[in-house]
Amino acid sequence: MRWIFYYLDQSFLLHSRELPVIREMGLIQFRSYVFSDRSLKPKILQGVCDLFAADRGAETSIMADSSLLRSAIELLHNLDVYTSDFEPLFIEQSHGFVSSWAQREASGYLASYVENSHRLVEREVERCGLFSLNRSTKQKLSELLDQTLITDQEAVLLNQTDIIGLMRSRNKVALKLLYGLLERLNTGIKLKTAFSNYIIQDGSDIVFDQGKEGDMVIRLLQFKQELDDMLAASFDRNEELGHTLREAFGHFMNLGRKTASTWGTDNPKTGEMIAKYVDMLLKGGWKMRKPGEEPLADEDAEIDRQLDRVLDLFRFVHGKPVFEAFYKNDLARRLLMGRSSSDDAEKSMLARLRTGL
Amino acid sequence: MVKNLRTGSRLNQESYFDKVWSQLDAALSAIFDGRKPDISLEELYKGAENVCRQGRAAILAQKLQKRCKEHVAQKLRDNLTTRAAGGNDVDTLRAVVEAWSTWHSRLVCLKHLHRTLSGN
Repeated sequence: MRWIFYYLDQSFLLHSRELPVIREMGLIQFRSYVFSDRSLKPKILQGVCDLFAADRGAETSIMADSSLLRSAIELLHNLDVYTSDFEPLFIEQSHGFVSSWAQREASGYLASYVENSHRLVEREVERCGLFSLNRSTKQKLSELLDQTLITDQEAVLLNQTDIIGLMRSRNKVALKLLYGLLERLNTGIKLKTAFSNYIIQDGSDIVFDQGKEGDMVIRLLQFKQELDDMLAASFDRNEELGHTLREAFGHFMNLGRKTASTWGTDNPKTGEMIAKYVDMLLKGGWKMRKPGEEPLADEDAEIDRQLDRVLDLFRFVHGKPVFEAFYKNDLARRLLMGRSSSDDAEKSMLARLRTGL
Repeated sequence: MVKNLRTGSRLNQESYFDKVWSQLDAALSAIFDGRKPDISLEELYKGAENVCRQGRAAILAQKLQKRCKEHVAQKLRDNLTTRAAGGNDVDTLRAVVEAWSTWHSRLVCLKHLHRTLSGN
């Protein structure tokens, strides 16, 4: 019709407020008489939602149809009914979908739940882009996902037993996903209770393992390393969780228990064991390598490295006098019996102790 | 073609208008059916131009609007509600999207024709 009334358009219609410009007319009429028809409108809108359900894999009786869906969204935009009519309904039905999904998935393993939740969020975001949904829709959907997957399922996400289970099995990937989910709402620090309990439980087990006292320090070093790795790899070096780590580590390192090996006292054993370990290192133990390791290129650097590691552990011990007592004793014996492997190493260690670490 | 339109009598203008409109009306019916109009587009355009010079642009526009509205509100809509009764919501949506596409192409098609005619 446009071409015929080009003349009309230019000379008259553009100046008239009552009569819509012809090219708009067709659009307005379609919206008024077809889209807004009482029997057609609910079907049109539900049809669009059904296609989304099919694309989500939630609706098996309806075939997914990407091109129809794309055309439909374009139509909704053209008719200017997207925000008024489509978006509220879509968000409402999406809420229903995500709710049931979460209920089902949350009853499984925590590791699966966090992994699948991440994937769900990714797919929803992807779908928004694929079908040119408005930014407002993407925003509302994101809020909905946070509410339903995270806030509503907080009890599941913060289940102490499950979290400690993940930590104990060193499942860094699952822990990273869990932290990531919580961080969407800036609540990653809610992991600190579980983190603290885990460290204290497993750390105490090492310290009070009566059969394996000789391995205590090595196991503690290993444990500390694993915790540092976890903090970096899974918790994004979160400052508060780092603080929790140090606090919890310091807590069990200074626990005492009356056992035969503490001669009936409840003094912590850790100071004494570290002193013995340092003694072993300074006698030449630092040279010991695991089978298959390369010979050390720089011996001085190696001694320093190993001493630093032990001292890092030692910082947590409160009863320094106990350590000092053992250390002085062992030092004297090393020097008298000529068992020291390196003068430089001895000096290096003393320097460290003197500066108060 | 009636000459001296501007100075023609009122009766002449009326009957000229009716003639132009009936030509246009028939052309619209053809277009809505997806057919090519019988009358030449050049002649239609000339007729519309003349009617506008006679100061009757508003009436022509109103009639056009009414004609389009009838097509959309009755023929198009009735067709769709019938199809809706026979399928699920996705089927209805598909029919509506197709109807929009067709309706839109009618408008676009005519727009292209105009561009060709006026040598743009």
